[in-house]
Amino acid sequence: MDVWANIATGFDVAFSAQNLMYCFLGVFLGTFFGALPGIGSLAAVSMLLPITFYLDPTTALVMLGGVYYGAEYGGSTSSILLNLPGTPSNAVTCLDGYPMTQQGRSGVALFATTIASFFGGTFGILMLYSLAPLIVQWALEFGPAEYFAIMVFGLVAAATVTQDAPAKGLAMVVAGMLLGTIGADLNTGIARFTFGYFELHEGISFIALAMGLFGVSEVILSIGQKIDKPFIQAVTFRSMIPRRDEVRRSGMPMLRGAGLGAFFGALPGTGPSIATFIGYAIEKRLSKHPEEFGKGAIEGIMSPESANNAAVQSAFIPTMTLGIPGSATMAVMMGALLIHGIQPGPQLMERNPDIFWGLAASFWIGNVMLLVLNIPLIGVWVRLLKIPYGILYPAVLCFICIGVYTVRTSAFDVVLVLAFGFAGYVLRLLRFELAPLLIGFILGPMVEENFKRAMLIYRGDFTEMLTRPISGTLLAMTALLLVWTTWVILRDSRRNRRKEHLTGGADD
Amino acid sequence: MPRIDPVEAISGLLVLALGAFFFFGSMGYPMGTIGRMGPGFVPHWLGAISMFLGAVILLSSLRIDEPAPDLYWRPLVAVLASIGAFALLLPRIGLVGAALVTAAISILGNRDAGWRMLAITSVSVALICWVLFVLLLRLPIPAFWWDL
Repeated sequence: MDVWANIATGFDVAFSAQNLMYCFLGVFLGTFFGALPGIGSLAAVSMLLPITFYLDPTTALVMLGGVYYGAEYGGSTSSILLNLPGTPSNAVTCLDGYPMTQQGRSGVALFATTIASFFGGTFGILMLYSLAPLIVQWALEFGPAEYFAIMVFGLVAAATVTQDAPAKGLAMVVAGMLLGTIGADLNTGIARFTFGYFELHEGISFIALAMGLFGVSEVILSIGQKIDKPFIQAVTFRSMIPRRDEVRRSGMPMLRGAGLGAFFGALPGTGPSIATFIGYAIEKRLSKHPEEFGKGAIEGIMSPESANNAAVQSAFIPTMTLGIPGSATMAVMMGALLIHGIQPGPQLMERNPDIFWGLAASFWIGNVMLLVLNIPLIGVWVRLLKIPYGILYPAVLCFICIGVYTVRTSAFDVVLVLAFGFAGYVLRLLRFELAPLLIGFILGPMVEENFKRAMLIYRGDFTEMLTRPISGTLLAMTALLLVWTTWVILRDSRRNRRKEHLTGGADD
Repeated sequence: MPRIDPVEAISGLLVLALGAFFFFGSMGYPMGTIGRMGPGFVPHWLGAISMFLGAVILLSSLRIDEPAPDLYWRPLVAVLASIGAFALLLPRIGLVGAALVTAAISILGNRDAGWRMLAITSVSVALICWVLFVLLLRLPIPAFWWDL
């Protein structure tokens, strides 16, 4: 099939009046919820999911996609102005964005992140255009062994790549997979670990899990830390103009960020957050002025924001081509497709080319809308954030409860939010990373299913998986990653012990 | 004499306990063989991996030493109670009442909030939820008890 003809069809679909309107509604609501601290793209998408039940599938996805990347755009606003990440993947932006606000330069930071987001988003969409058709051709040959290997690699990478404590990261992935086994077993229908609760037969609602772990624990910590900072800076158009040297210093970080983001977004398991952390670390290492990082270096916001939005777009690659959701928010979107009777996977592009290409086109239109809208609307979002957190968080909690309740119309799921909110808070105090838990939970059942199928095909002979080229390579890479991680742990602990020996273990 | 970091020690024990729960809990389900796995197989071995990781974390607690984190009891209790109230009240009195009570209880977690602020904020939150979700976005949620 001709790529250009496909792209043209896509824009035809995306430019219909209805799709344009819902795209606009999506990006607007997404930016609004994303800008509220404590509500990320996941909460925003889940809250708005029920409205899309009555739309046709393409329009539904156009709108939810808009909410998703709109929330990621909006999330940087509260990172920069309040030092509170609007979504977990905007956490890195606080490091240099907030110091810029303290120096009275929030206008520049907000303008720069909008440009970086647009650039990253566009780059991610180009990757979606060029890679998705190639991957689909491979994916048709994929068997359960390949699916198993690709997910295990993604999960191990998510747990080890950026973690200070890889053992704890891996423990969270496994904990997520264990929680994922709760519910009816797919092959036999036997209820596992449901403790007699009928509501657990379909498994734990991952929206309840995610909102409890991230949203609720974030709110508790934020109230405790007293973040009612008075915020009085006016953001005018004049204040958005960056210095000439900042423009010059922004280009390469933005490009590197976009590349990293596109890679980690496309790998199921790792996602925007990891891409932003690595992007920041690389810029700091490459910079001629590493001492400026943390004090308002423009590179420190350009790379993560570009990476974030590139990852959001490229996360659609595994979802659309393999049917593997790359992140929690993608899992909700995949749920939306399934509700409309569309099975994401290699067959999607053949059977419903209008959906795939229409979505890709609408993503880009949505990104243009965000660019055009966000610069004049920055003032509105700033005013939204002038509301003190003490008034904001009761509303955030209600929004979370409403979002969880509406997805399955279940008060039981709201009780689960309570339980996971407590668990998330305890885990945060114990310095665990929560993102690997969630992704382990989402991919866990798919890993289990494909592992069982593969072992059935190969009659329990694991070596068959290692000799197939794609699954063998991926599993070898996974093993290398684990060996390397173990080596790093051992090296660091030896270094720590030596330091302890020298300083008497006084500090650090 | 190495000191033990309580945070890492508790973390290790927690992971170990979780693993043990699934390792032993799954023994009540059919295990099957590697070529034809039963429902107990995967949770059993994931539980074993979790126990191993718990032991690794527990061992590492001998080396790391960082200040213990602050506990925030008041926001913790208030926030969790407010969510419980939502789950309890929504099916009985509808969204507006549930949001009102949820907001009010959650505000008790903020030590600086006075009664005036509690009243004004919770009423406004309830109104915003009603207007935004029921009137504008038309979510299928009962707004009041007569909509149930």
